[in-house]
Amino acid sequence: MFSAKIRSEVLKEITDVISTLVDEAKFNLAADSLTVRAVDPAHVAMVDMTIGKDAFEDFKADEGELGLDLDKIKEVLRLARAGDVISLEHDEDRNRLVVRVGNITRHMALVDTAGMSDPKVPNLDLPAKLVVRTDELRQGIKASESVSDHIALLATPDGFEMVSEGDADSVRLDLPKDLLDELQSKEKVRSLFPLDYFSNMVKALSSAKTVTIFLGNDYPVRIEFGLAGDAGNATFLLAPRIESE
Amino acid sequence: MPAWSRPHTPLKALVEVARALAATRSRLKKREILVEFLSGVKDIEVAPAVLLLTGRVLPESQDRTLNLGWVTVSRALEASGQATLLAEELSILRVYGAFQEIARVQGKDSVKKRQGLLQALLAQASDAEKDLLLRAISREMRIGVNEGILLQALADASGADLSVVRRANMFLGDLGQTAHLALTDGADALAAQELRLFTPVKLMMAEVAEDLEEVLREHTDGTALEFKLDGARIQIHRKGAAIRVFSRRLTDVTESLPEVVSWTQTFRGEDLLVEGEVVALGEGDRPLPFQDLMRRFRRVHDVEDLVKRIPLRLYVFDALVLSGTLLIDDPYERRWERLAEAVPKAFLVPRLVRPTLDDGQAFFEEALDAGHEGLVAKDLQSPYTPGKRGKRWLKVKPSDTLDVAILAAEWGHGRRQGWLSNYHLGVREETGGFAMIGKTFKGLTDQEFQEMTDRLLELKVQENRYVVTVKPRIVVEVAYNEIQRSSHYKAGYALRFARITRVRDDKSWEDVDTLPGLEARYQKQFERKGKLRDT
Repeated sequence: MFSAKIRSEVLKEITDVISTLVDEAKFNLAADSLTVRAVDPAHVAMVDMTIGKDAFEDFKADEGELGLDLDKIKEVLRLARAGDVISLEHDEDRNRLVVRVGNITRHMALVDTAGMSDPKVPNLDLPAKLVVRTDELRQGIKASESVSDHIALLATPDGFEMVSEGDADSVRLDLPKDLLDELQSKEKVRSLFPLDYFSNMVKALSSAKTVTIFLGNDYPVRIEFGLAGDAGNATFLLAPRIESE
Repeated sequence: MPAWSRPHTPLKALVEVARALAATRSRLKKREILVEFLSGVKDIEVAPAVLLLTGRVLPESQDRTLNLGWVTVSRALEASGQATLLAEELSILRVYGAFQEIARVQGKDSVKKRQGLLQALLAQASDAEKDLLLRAISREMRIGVNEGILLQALADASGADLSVVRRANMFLGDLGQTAHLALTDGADALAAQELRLFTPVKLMMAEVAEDLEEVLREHTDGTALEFKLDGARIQIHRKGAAIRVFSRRLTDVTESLPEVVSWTQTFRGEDLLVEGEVVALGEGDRPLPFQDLMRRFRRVHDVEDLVKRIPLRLYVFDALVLSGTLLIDDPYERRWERLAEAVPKAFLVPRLVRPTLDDGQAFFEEALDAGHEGLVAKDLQSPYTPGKRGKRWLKVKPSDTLDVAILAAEWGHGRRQGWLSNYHLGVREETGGFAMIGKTFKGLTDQEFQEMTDRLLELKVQENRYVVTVKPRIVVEVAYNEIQRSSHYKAGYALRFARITRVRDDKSWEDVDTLPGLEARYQKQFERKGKLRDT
């Protein structure tokens, strides 16, 4: 059983985050929360998200799962006006989702979840931790986009840096310790990432003012952030590029 | 351990088998290796393993193709500096699943998506596995396992006669499925396979003949010459009122060819399966280039418009089923009689039965004048053997010529003793060297052999046992009937039926044709054969 009401901007935020990596996703339902764990087809990035029932205007669910086509959810979201509440209901007899927005009712076929496994979240030991404002990250990405396809993230005891080096140009964003909400980095660590993934991830964040970044040397990055106020949270993991010698 | 609870077979097991297969030249040994390996994998792994080992990757009965161009593959390889989050050992099934997923990609960003999927696969592969995957993608396994050996191995494994396995395979139209059936259900299940209408059958293919004289030598029971049409082969299935048309690649093209459907409605012979060629007609009813015809094959929407712009003509030339009766074991002569009763004359391919050499030659010229490729000669007594290429059908095409350099020569035996008479032919590489693409001892007169021997000895660089290596200074024009892929020569290509037509003393070694040029000619042949993706 699943029946819920959710503000359109919250549903949009959830959908945007997941759809940076996949077109279809399995939503795991429980009595007090909804979780999604998905890995992109190239296995380069992963999202692990938990949305508590408080993020919803109304939430009733039994243990179960729903396979959703995120493009269809986006179609519905385009019909919503600011402040609209969208109602979602699982029609178990016909195995479809009944979505109501305004005076519109959309019957949505569910996606078969048989082939969707829950990816195991790798256990990572990441020595550096920092909390940075989302708009600073956006600024750094914007600066890098015309310069290179990659972006290096660095943490030192004194601050956080984003560096992109192209063939001719390079660009760097410096955030000294006092511009960060938190910084724990005993030594310098650095990893290089594909910019398109990193950029899409950061662009998908709409309500989080800050994100927590965990970083290592040539290691995946973990990006944690809140969703729907603090009723939900999510983690992005992104694998590094290993520079050949 | 029961089969279902065994872990999936890792890809590295397939790598080892491929290595073992490549290491032996003995067909018998290859069969043994295949039987042992295929009997050891899980049921669901049999077909994927067979498809990978034979460089097919996807089931032959499947419409989709991988659509991985060289650029996509090399980008995926370059990007392999990208790490992945989930490290898992690649299994045969995971690889098969990934290729299926790649084949399913369509719509916007599809090139990028395919690259991403390939990248993820390659990122998890060891170097040896990567090598295997790339060879499978390029359909060049180079382990000496062709369909013939595999079918024999399946016969060994199932205890069925080779003829039974072969027959089942032609009806199933998919080597993977045949292997699965042979290993899981055995000989009886293979024997129970029958031709089913609306399941496309693999086509019978022709070998290249050097010329009409060879045809008359080979086909001692009599031959029939048919125009080798410059079109695309199709097979038409009809049962009751339903009609489906399939391409050479066994793709359903019914929707793209409405006129073929309506013509087929005029055929007699109830349930049928006939084979023929559609030709696109341009001005003056001359056949249009193959690309234009392929536009018809690919088109699904707004077909009407193209029907007017690219009119087709249908030529039928064989019948596998007529009036619900399977004819493939009947001789060609008999099949044609039945075909001629069922199909209006306007749709029958132009042909000439039991020709003399002169008549045949004139007919050959007639075909070329009409804008077609040449002739196909069919042994009057031959059964229809789907999926098989043999000498019962021979194609005769006008030869093409290349300017090549003589790189070395071998001392002749017997009548040609004392002459350097077997010439190693080479084209120019981009890097400046020469790449050997074949040998020939044909085309020179005795006097020319003597002169050539003297000239070559002057250019001698070294001599070992019977081969004299020379400076590549002598240019000859050679005629050939086909360029083939070859693992024998470093260049990767070999000329079929090469013979010297002229000694080009007017040309220098710098005028010799290049390897890229040869590759381009090879690719062109490829398109002609309808290997162009018609999806």
